[in-house]
Amino acid sequence: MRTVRGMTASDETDEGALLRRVCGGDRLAFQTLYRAYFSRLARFLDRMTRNVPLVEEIINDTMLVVWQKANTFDGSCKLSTWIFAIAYRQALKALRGLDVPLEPQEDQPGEAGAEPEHALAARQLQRGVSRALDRLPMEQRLVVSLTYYHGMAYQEIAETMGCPVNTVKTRMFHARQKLKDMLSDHMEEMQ
Amino acid sequence: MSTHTTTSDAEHQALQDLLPWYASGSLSEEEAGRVQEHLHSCTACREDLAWQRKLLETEGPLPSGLDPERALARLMPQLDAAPAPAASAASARASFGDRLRAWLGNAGWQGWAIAAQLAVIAVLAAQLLPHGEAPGYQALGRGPASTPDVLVVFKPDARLQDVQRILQANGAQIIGGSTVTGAYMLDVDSDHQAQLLSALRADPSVELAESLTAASQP
Repeated sequence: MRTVRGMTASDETDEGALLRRVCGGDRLAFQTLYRAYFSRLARFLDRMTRNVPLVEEIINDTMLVVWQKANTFDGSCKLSTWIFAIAYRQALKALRGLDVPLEPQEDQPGEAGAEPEHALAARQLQRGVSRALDRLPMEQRLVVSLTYYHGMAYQEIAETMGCPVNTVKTRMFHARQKLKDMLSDHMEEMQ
Repeated sequence: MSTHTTTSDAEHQALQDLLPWYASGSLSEEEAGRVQEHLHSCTACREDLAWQRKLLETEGPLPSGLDPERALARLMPQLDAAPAPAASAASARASFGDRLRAWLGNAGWQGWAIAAQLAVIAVLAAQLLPHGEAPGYQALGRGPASTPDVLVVFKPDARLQDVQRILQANGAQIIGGSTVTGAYMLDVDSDHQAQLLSALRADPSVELAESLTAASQP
């Protein structure tokens, strides 16, 4: 199990304690929270923006809001949902500011030569999935990413993206259809 | 083409829709139980689930070129500029009032004389703003509780590039306006405020420029 899905109740409590210290202006607690969320937010924002330089900026915008608004968090949702919802809104704002069409990124040149065959196959599959994800409309892409790679329940995704739960399910439904079509070449490897 | 026999098509569809969250382990116990039961009798959903689990394992690596420590080092100084978390719950107007009171506390009688002057400016600002409220939107990267530092009214024939040039040269940003009377609220570092005010006042395209903060008063 990866760490995100492996989040236990005690992790949640620890984060709650961290946030209370952040409310009191504790910078060390803020730094701990920042480091704890950096990778998660980076993964999510990279999938959303496909723009690496922008990712760090949006993470900082997000965490600045967390610092300023920590005392408005009322515990009605998970802390992670609250932070992701801020990141989603900050990213939308940043993307509007960019005002450029978001082209899917070119594949990075691989260092495949030295890899054993099974690792190579796994990587090709990973790239295939990644490329297919990038070809989905942004909302569908994010629902898939938050579900599979962030372990979010559909209710939490609805809160993060500010939409009804049925919209989340519909987006996932369409995303699954399209992914199946796009990944038909990889189907054998995936069975 | 599913082989399920014990559930209706609608129920099958509803449960199939939940498979991604079943695969990731984020369903409620009750829903997970229903899906599990359905899986016993539905080959199509079992195949779908196997496919979803495979997808779930293909999480790509983090993008390269990211550095959390570098990004954090860039952010920390901004916390100093941002209000303390506890203070940020107060409205922008209250925090401006707090700043004014804090400043007056150190300034003696001169402070009260300047307060009177400020009151005149505040009345002016209140007349210029439709509701006298602090602006509700912020440029990206700015704290949500920053308050306007300078109020400016441009002449009707002012050119956009002139306005941009003055603001950029002094690190100022428009954070509110224009109001019905054409006033804009600017946000500027306190170090640059005096410079910005004289640049604005000297510019032929500016009708009026006034400081809205106590700290910049002479």
